[in-house]
Amino acid sequence: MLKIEDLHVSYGPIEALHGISIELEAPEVISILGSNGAGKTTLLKTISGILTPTKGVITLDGVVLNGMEPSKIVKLGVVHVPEGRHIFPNLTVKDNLILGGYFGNATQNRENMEFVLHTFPVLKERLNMKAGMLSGGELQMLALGRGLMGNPKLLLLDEPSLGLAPIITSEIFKTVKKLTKEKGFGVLLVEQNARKALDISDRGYVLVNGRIELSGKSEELKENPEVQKLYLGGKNVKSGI
Amino acid sequence: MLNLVFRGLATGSIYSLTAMGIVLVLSTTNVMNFAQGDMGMFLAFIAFALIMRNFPYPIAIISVVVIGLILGTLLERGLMSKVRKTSHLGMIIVTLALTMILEGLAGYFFGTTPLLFPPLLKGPPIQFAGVILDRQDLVSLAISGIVVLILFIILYRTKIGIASRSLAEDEYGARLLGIPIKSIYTFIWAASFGLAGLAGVMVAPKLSLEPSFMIVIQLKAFIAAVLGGMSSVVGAVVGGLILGVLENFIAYYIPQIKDSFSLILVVVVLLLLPEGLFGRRQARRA
Amino acid sequence: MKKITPIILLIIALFIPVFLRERPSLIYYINLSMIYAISAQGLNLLMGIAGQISLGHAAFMAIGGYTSAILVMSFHLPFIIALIGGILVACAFGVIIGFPALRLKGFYLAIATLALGNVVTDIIKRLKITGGDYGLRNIPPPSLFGFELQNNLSQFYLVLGCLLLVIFVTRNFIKSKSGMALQAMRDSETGARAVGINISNYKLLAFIVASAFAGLGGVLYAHSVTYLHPTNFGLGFSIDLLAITIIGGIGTLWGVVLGSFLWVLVRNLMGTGLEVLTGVLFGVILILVVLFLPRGLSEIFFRISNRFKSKEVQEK
Repeated sequence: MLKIEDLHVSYGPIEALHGISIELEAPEVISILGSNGAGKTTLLKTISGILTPTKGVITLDGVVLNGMEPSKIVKLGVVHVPEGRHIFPNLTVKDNLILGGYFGNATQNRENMEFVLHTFPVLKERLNMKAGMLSGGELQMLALGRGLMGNPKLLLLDEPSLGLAPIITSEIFKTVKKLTKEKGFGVLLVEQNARKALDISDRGYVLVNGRIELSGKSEELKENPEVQKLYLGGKNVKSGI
Repeated sequence: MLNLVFRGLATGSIYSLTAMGIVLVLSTTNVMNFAQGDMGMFLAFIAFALIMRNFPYPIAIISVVVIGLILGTLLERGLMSKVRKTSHLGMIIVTLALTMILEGLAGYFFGTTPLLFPPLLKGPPIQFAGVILDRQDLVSLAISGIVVLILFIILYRTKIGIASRSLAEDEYGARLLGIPIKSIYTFIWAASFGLAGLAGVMVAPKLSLEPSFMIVIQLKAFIAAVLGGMSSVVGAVVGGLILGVLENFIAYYIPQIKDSFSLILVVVVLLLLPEGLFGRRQARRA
Repeated sequence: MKKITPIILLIIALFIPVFLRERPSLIYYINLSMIYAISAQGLNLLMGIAGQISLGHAAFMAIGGYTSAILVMSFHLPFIIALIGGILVACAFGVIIGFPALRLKGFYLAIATLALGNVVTDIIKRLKITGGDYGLRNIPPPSLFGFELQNNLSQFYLVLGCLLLVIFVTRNFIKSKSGMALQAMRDSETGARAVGINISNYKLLAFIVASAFAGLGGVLYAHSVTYLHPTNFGLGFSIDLLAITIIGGIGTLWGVVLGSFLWVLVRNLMGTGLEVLTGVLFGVILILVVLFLPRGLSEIFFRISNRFKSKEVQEK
């Protein structure tokens, strides 16, 4: 479904991604692992049209995405849930969700809203609160819910565990896995917490300095000594940050 | 006493109308629009020309609001969208250039001698419960009220309104959701110049119609916006009303400082309460 | 080559009045342009170098002009003392306004300077010594070392000298430690803070120098136009000064000179009955500059001189 071939992306004269190729077939969950500055967020921003690649092609079901306006890409079903969530703090929870379904028709949005509130009941309680009042976990649920409002075919998740307690992270990851099965969309997951990411993903890619160093099935990656040393911190890892 | 309050509210409602337009643009595009007042002036001249040609008053008002909407659209599509790419200061400079152009054109086509703009409702002042109010004041109070209500519904109950507010908070977040930012900007400029037309027609009967008659009102509107915290349209309205009432009291009790009062007030507020008079903190960024 | 050009320009400038002996009114307009350039240079320094906006710059001209006029007319002090007095009082107000400005940014700073500028003209309107609403008339012309600079020609050299001084000071200011710090701050305030630049002091310094330039411009204006009125120094004039700066080329050394000459030219060359259209024309020029010449009119000169330079290289 998603096909990325030989993707190069630069910030001014500095190239951040040096030829990346990734494939994803929904309902698949793929994790992108890597340290800070490896180019994970750059990759997601390029897929959602915020950045334009200098070379390479991104296609979704055969449609070329690079060079398209972000709003067109969202309409095609690529929804980006960004690092830091970018929830609008002074808007109510409900308004945040409504904006997630900006392009949907009324019936669709009503159904999606019901589904989101059913999946995250806590949001139902907070519906008319300003989003800035939510706790970290609730914010991440809102960010996910807002993404679901856009009828995603492909969900780009950037650091969903950031600043969350380990239990909440696990809960959210479980929900993501469950949603993938229920709704049949694909997930591209960028995550610092490699263990948890590999737990829910089918395959993974390891990004080092803008290049893919390793890729494979999640189970295989978990057993890979290199990955264990660098990203899983040995056998006894404390999860969360 | 009560009389002072009501007169103040009437004056304040005029500030509010202009302040709403300024805050609408400022909170979403971060542009301080200096042309808001002069756009109102220019549209008031057009309304005046229509009325002089025996068009009914309501038609004149609706026409200038529509012209305002069109001019706002043209400004965003033709100019602001291009300048936005090069520099932020550039957009502010464009609004300053617009004031020069609008004042010049108004002076050229309509002359610089002050004209008398007929009040919307003729007749003697209305009296109730010891309060004496001009009919025109009642009209501007009523219109401000209606406009606030309409704007509130648009901004808080429609998708495009909610999207406008999201843009003000986090443009990056809005872009990721696929919100069509260009259309939103067009909507904002159109709406604010539509409002400018309304404000111009409301102010003109109270002052005399000349190319510079909105400059004072615009200054007061800026101050109202500051008092209201500069982020919400509702705040701008309340700020305008408070400023109007305070000014009327000052003019009555300490007339010596009435000219400089609002200016000093705004500097003090800026320094001591940069969040506006209500000081209600914004919810923290998520 | 680089060093010769300014000298040639200076020599031409020195002889301009000789060519225009028969047209003293033209010299008057040249003087006026240079006076605007002196004042606008302050704004240029504030906006272009320090990145601070001001919508009350004309008020500092008023302060300088009124102070000097009053010192000469009511206290019978010599012009040179009045000149220095005008600049110092303008500086003092620069400090008064600069302090609150340190805490404000962008929109807030614009509103604050706008309001304070209005307060200044309001106060001038209310005072007796300033002539209030009536204005000050018959301000004596400048005099130096016992010579009264009665005509426009003699004033030309005084104003030119002041302009060159202002440009010289600006040039050195940009290259000085404070200028560098301010430019660093303009580009990234947190960055500048991080490397330990004390932003407040430099910002304040920028406000003071900008006020001094405006004050000087005001003094020269008062004594060459010989008439002051508070409404001349309102928001409109502040915006004109801003337009002059932008059109000439913000952050450039000579841009304000180009902008001022263009402004005076446009204002006075419009046919009778068309004066009201001056604003329209200037507004359109301003928009065109914003759209196509981000470095103002001086960019055109850069391009021309670059073309000449490349030709020279080719010929060699």
